[in-house]
Amino acid sequence: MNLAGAALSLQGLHKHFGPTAAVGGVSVDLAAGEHLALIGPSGCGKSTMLLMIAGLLAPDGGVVRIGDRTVSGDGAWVEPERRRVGMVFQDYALFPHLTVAANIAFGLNRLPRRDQAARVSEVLALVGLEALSGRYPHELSSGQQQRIALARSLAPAPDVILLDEPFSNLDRALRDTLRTETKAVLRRAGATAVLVTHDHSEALGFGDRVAVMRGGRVLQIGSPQEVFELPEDLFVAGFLGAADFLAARRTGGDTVDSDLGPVGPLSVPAEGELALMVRPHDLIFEADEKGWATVSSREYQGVSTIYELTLDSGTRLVSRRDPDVAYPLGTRVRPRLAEGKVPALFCDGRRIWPRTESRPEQEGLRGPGTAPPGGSPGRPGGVRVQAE
Amino acid sequence: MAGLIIAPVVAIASEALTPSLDFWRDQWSTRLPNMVTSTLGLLVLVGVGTLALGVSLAWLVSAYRFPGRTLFRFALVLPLAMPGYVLGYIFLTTFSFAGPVQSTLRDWFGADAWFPEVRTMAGASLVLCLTLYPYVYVLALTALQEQGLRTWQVARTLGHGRIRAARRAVLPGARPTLAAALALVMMEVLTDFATVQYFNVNTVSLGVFNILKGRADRAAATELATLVLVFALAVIAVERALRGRARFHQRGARQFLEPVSLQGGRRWAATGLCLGVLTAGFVFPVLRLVTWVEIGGQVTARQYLEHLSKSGLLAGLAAVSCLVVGLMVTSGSRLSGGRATRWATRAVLIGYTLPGTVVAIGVLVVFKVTGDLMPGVTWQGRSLAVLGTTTLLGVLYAYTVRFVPLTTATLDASLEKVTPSVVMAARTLGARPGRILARIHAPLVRSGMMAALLLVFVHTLQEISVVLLLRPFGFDTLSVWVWDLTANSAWEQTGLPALTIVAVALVPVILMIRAGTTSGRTPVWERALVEPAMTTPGNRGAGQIGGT
Repeated sequence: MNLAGAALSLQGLHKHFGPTAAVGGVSVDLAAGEHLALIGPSGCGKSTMLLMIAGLLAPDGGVVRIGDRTVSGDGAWVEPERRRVGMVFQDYALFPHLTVAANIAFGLNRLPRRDQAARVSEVLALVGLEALSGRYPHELSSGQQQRIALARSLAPAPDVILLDEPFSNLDRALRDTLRTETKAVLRRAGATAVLVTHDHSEALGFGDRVAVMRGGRVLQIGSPQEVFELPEDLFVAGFLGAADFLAARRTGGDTVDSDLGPVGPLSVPAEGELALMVRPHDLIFEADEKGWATVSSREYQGVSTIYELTLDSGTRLVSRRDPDVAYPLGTRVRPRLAEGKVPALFCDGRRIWPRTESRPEQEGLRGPGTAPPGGSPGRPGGVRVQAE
Repeated sequence: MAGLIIAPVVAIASEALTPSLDFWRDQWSTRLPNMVTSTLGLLVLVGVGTLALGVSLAWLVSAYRFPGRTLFRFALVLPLAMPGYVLGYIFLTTFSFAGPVQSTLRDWFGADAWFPEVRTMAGASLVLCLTLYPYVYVLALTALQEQGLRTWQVARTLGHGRIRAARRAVLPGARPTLAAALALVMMEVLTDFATVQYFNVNTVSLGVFNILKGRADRAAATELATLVLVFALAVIAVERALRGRARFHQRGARQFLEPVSLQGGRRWAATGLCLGVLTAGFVFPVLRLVTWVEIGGQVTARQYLEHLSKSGLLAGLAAVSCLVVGLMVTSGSRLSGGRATRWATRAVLIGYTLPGTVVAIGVLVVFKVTGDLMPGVTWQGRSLAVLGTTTLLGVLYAYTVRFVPLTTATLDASLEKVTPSVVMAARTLGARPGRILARIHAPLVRSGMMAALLLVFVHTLQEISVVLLLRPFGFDTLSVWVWDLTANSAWEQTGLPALTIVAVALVPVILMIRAGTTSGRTPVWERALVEPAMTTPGNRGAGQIGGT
């Protein structure tokens, strides 16, 4: 797609380092004010993308457009200092010899001095650190440094903000707080932003859209919900959070059968290995002597309890449950999918169902029931879902 | 540029390959055996002494709590500012036969009161130990802080007691650092001839000086200087062997074990030891110099200012020259990552790791050889060979070779703050390259440049061996003046010049102490003092394993 009036548009961007393609032909468009999260394993080319957008690295091919300006490609080249792109680095890269205020004012040197001071206090207020303007970077905590780096990049009101793993140097709790805060600050500033991360909760929580990269290519791009629930392939499924895969069997008809019940109707391909994706929060179970799985480990985590179930077939599945019900180890249980859950079905690693073109609910697709492979009836709820 | 820096070393090394047999035969039958044994003996005594003193003091102030600990922790660095040749004659005048100590003893116990002979190798070793132990002490403290805690804690949990854990776990970890410190100390010993000559210890360096100044025989001095180089190479070999395959310390969190309080007599013994070392190495000599300032009425202000200005001129020129070369080397190694540049960067560090005697004689050879090659190049009717010792060129050249590593260490430390992402951040904020240079690089490197200038200035001001060997006739700096006065036994007139040298030398030491007390900042001073010694050619660079 090529949105008219896209704030940032990349077309066929690629970059080679020697024989390997760091980025191999990426095209993305961002609407004004949109937040995109780029996620992928290290070395997938996501940081290289940011450097090319900022102009700190020259692409080997492709076009970068910011607003209505072509800044790279098509014979154009705009130096980074003229691109109006703000960047927040992993190590924050604050100027160690300048105070917080001077750091923020660094990008404002074209403004008159009075306006500079006003803008500095404005962005400091945005990140809530007005009191620290006279400090030096080494006198700040790492969380404060991160916020100052964000404020500094926002100060010249750039057209696009790039964030290169800005939370990775922070501890868990601070990371979550700062992510929420950064998102809010960027929203308030109305900034178009690209965040690079390798943390799936960060990507899902931050982005209006999430792009999953691997080997220099975008495997999938979509809303956080889309990529999480309907991953295109097993890699995306596994990378965006815990997922187990359960072998599915052809029944001969328009459904497939699994240890968690039948799935369908769908057009079942004749060839290929079939697997169902099961996320921990989608899997529930009840104690049942006649069940076909055993609780093989249990980990209490406060907000929830993580169970590992070993199916009689040998497959192990993880289930996330409320912490108030406790099943001892060795309990025989009857596993099933939570009501209304439609598991993604993969054939030879590619998702074949549900189709992405439309939301599954709209198509009226059914989730699998709770019936065991043998066909004994499950709970009424599960049956009702299946019977609809 | 790097070639110019290593030329003197190469010159001496090539001399070593073409020895004059007659010279050596002659020397062998006369003074050589004594010179070799003296040098060897002095190296061993001072090496063992500084190591024992430095490590035990560092351990004491790190691991135990006793009265004055915090003060001593920093104050024990102060003797670094006391040149050996100053402490040497103060020691002699105090303890020699005519000195106040022996006189008092005779007053108390009669004319035949026994006192050990002071003009001996033991006396020289003691003086050198007291002025050189701070190198070991500072490095040991750093090593203990940077890698001590974790290994020590692990050893404790594995059932070792405090001392045993230190000996088994901490000390081996600090071994590479201590080996470097030891090498630094030994090179100072090899350079020195001013201190040992008070004590009648005939080292090879003293031999070089005597031959060059007494017989004006450059060729013979060069021959003998190759022997100093051999000793220096032996020291480097020993360092490599001691260091083993270990790496240099990693820079981690600077913290150390919780010190335990010493009880009863032991705590006062600890205080006493620190106080004793500090008094002998710093407080007492300074006080004695201060009393001499009042006594010496023969030193006129004019004389003083004349020598002071010469010292200042020489030190200033050396500092600027080192800074220029240092900037070229560091920026060169950063801008181009080529092999040749990297090799050159390492090569320029060689000056600090070799004795000043070798460098000085090497410089003479370089002037001689280039003079012979280019007989047409003259200035005021003097050929290049002569210009080396009749102008400041030779001294400056030698100082540049010797002290450039001091500047590269500080400049590198400050340039490290300019990470690639800092530059990128500046660019995305709209700064063009010129503005980045002016607003980012210049201010960040400025403090490093000041540090570099100061370090070279102070080292030059204190230095005596090179300036005695190479100065043009009549160019008497403060240290040369002190030397001349002591040669005429005019001790009491040295108060003002010697005290000036000590006072100036205190400046970087105090700055280093201050940098050490403000935590969380890069200890540039410490690194500058200590790092050139540790970055001998071949082991600079991340995680490179020493040894060949």
